[in-house]
Amino acid sequence: MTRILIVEDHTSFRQALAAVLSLEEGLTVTGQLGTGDPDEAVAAAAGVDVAIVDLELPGGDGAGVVRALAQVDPPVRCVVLTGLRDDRELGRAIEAGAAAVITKTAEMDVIVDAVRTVAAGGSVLPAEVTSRRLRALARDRERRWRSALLAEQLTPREMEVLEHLVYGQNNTQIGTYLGISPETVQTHVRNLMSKLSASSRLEAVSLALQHELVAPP
Amino acid sequence: MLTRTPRLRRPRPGTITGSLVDLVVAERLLVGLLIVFTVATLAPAGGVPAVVAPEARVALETTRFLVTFATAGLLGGLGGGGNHRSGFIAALIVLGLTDLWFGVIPNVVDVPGLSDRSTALPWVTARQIAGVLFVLVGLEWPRWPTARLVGAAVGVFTLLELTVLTTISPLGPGRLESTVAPPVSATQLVLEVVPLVLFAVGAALARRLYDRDGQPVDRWLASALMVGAFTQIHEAAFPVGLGPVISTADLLRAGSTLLLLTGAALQVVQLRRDRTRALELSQADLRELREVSNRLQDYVAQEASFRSVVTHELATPVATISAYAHVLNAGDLTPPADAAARTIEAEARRLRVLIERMDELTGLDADALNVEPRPLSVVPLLHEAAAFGRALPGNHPVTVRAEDQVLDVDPTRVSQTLRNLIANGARYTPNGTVIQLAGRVVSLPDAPPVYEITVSDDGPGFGVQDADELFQKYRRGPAATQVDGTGLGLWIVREVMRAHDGTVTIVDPAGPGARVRLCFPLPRPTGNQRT
Repeated sequence: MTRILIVEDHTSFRQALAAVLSLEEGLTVTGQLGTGDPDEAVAAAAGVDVAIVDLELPGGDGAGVVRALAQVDPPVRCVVLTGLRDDRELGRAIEAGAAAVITKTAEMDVIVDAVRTVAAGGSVLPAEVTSRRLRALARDRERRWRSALLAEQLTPREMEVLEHLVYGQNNTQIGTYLGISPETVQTHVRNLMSKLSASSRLEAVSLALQHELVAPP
Repeated sequence: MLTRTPRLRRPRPGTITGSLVDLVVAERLLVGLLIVFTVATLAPAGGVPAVVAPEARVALETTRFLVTFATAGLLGGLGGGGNHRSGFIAALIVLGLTDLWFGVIPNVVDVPGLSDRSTALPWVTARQIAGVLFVLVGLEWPRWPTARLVGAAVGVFTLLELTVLTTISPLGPGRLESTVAPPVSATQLVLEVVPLVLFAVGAALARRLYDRDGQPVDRWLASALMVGAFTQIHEAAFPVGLGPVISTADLLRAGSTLLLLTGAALQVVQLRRDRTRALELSQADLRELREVSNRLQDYVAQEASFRSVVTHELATPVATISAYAHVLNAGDLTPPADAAARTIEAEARRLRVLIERMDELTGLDADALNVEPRPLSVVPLLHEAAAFGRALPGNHPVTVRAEDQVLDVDPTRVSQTLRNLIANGARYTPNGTVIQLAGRVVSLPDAPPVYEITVSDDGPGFGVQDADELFQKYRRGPAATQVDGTGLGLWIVREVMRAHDGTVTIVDPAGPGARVRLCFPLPRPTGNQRT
């Protein structure tokens, strides 16, 4: 008998899903949880074989629950069942250790089959889709990482100057606003340009916007 | 409606780019030269009035040569006033060179053959060349680059001056150091009259240019040339009017050079004003463009987020309905309840498909279209699409003539593609026009064989030269403007074909009759299918 925990904040869907699964031979829903708190999930998953986890949950997120359940001994295998379509979000769930990722628009049979497959030690992660999702996640992460790296190199003052540059202001205007001399502004501009490896003010502005260091005007 | 931001930030003039010379520096330089030139021309030198001081002439020529060169250099460096004024620059350079070679150098250094000559002939020759160049300016011909025209003018100038100096110089008029006016010879008259005519014509033409373009340099050139023409008359009549060192004609020439310089200075000012204005306008345009682009981005983001919210918010309730319908159907229901439960399940399924479609639309830009190919017989697909076409308004007979073949295709996607193309045909052709579906394996010598499906009709056709245009997102052919549509149809077709490693081409997009050719790769014989 496969014991199942459903982590899903929509009560009606949680109950409907439990009803569907209880019709299936060999499957039984032993727990239901409406929040995304990993500790609660771990507590609720005691003695459970498979957890069906939504990704958007109050008090946490599905990927965190999946990660927490994968780390208990013995690990609880997870079927992510979500209405989300964003490849990065799904990639994050896969990375956290989900054994299956199914969308809520799937047929009930598909959901049931996925639970059975995962309970039997298998996984429902089609290679092509999965690699696309993981790639999307990696791209997103790299972009954020690069932006964070650049942002760290700049001093708060340089960041301020950069914000004014985005508005097309010249040294005198920036200096007046910040209460420093245009020459000092020029020094900041030169420094931030070299940190951003920009050969012109325009390129610096373009890079700043591209890496979301400053808000667009 | 978008409104232009009324407040324009005034750009710092020193940062104006695009010219070799900073305009502000140019302006100051010109004013400075103007003052120096005036002082040098008119002020007494060495305690005696300039007109009788021997050094004054050298000073005059030196300054004149510097001023003409500077003016030419500035106008050339600024690229101001347009290409047709390269003749103006060439003329200034010729006049400046004359002052340098025959005025400054012989007076400063002792040049045999030059210093002892006291003829005005080299100047007269230079004036002829300058006159021709001024007329050319007015005629706006030839439209040569400045360097080329200057080169040509200096070449001609050098050649003529060498000829003058080596052969006919004894005929030269106007001995400079004579204190009494010599009789005016016929040769001298001719030599003075020719530049006179040239200057007068040049003045009229420059005036015409000014009336047309409103450029200050033309207006002042016209005035300078009028003075120049008058100087010629004056010199022909009184070769030495004031003398002995500086004649009245010299003063008049100085005046006309001043006029030229003023024109150049005003041109610089005008150019600066124009550039500032252009910069302001382009900045305003940029700002507006940015605003539009921001709004568009916002709109796209809003639309996507709306779709995403709708689909996401719908997904859970619909899944709940599906789940309960599933539960109901699993139970033992009486006939009416059973039918109701089945209908609920079927309708919920339709909703789920709809949600998936909307989601796909959201993801279309981000990633390639998702296809799930499997081995399929192609003829049934064609017949199904044909049946769809026959059901469309307009009573279009749809014929199928195809050899059967098993292809690795996504049936939903390929059906969608065929339906798109057939619907296009039905929409853009008169009622009753036959739409033909044909399919066959095509083997070309240098390429692997493909299965080719053609969808064609005898309607008006696409009517475009470039078929690529039709496949752009939201782009619609000229005929399409009268028919409702999104402009997404052919774009989706192409995306679907790409996802199948296939191609779509439009045969003769400009001609009558639409003919769209879809080519699918034949499945690999190993049975190694994609999933």
